[in-house]
Amino acid sequence: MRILLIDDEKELVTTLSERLDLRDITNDWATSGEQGLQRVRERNYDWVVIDLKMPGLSGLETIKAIKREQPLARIILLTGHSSGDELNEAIRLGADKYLVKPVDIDVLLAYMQGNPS
Amino acid sequence: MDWKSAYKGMAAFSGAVTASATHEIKNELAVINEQSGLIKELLMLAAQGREVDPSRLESLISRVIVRIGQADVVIKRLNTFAHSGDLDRDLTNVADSVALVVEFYKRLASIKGLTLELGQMPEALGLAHPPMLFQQAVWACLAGAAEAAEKGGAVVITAAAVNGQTEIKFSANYTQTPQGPSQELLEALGCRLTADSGNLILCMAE
Repeated sequence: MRILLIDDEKELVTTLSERLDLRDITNDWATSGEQGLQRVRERNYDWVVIDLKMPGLSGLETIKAIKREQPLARIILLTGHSSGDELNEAIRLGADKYLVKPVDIDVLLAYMQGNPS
Repeated sequence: MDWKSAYKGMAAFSGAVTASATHEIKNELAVINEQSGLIKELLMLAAQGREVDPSRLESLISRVIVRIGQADVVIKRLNTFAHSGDLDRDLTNVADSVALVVEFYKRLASIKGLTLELGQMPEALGLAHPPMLFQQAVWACLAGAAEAAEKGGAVVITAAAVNGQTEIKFSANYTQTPQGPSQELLEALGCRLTADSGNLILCMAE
């Protein structure tokens, strides 16, 4: 399983990445939609975990572009509090699930491994 | 201003401020959650005999303390905002109110690719209006300025006393005419709004 983490909060993605490393889960991270899209163009991911509100390319725009590049990549939104409209739009664009921050890493991984709590 | 419009405008403003602030707090909590989770996992590894660099733990704990401090700043700001709606408050300190609203709007401006800069603002400037009404007008000006300003640039906010009036200026390179508060809110505050390609100006009696 290869995971891409995208969030403009660098300390969040780098720490989550380190925790995934400890579990021997292959992962990369990016701090903007543009950087995330670049990663997606370089290699395939099973899962993309992405923040909705980011400067530059927004979470919604990034999801749309990722789905164009890698239709099979599955997407989980990590969000603070967002409006229902934005979350519905993200699901319409192909996101599988949204989780509200702060997220328990075991809940995140359980969902990815097909055992959602 | 009829009460329904006033209520809807104030509710939307308070909601937007609260949403922005709680989003910031959520982000801080999310980082603290990951960092404390990592600390716990590293300590578990150490307990199992794996070598863990103590300086890594020290650095993570320091960052948790920093992030708690940052969350606390947002909570204090939100509390100040909540109390600016106290019914016995009918005077506004311009510099304090503008600075407060600018801090709340910074995250939204950043998402739009803009920075907000506080420029010159005399400490003693005051207005005979409830703070939250004035803050609502400043928020609307910031929203209008952020919508109209050239992306990647800055909006500079200044205030000055000019000919017995208080002027709050939102300066930027505007690609379209920036909008401000509703006519009803302008009337309630007894102020007028002017705009050109470089400035959005809120002008009101002191």
